[in-house]
Amino acid sequence: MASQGELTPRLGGILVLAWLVPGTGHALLRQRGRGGLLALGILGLFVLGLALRGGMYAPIPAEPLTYLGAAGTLGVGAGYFVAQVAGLAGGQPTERGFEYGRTFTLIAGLLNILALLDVYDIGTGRKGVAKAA
Amino acid sequence: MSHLLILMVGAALISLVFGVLGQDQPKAQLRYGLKLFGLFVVLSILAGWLMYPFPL
Repeated sequence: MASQGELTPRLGGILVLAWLVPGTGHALLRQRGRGGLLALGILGLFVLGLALRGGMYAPIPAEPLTYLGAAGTLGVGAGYFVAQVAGLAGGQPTERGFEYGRTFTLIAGLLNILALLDVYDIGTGRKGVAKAA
Repeated sequence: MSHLLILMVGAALISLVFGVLGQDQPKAQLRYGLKLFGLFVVLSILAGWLMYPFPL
């Protein structure tokens, strides 16, 4: 673990991995239970959003707010690119769960960004390592 | 899948993440997560009824 407030190359690597796959950051910092629950919550929400055919926000130049949506959704990491490659990014606007789904994929990305901040705090010693889940 | 079920599953997953990040001890995490889940569901239904008279 780095000294307080210090971002070491190892912690940087952990943060990248935590971004790519939600929960891995906590697992690598010996908080496997917490990492597993975060992975379940974040990836579950992302997969549910895609299953509802909500797709993901894509940046549209004529609609500047979509850039924020896309940036937020990108927070989910590798899942974003996997969904793009799998052709699930567009969603199906005529589906009943479209709005829910798109919101869920966005929230999944935002929650993973929150989890990244938690990994940073634990890794730099700003947050004590609890013996919690 | 009904709207209510989607709302409840989404609220459960979001509450799970907030519970894990917001508290340190397992009991506190569980209490916080359940409280958030309840608030999500109750306030969403309440907001839905409040918006009911207003046409889009």
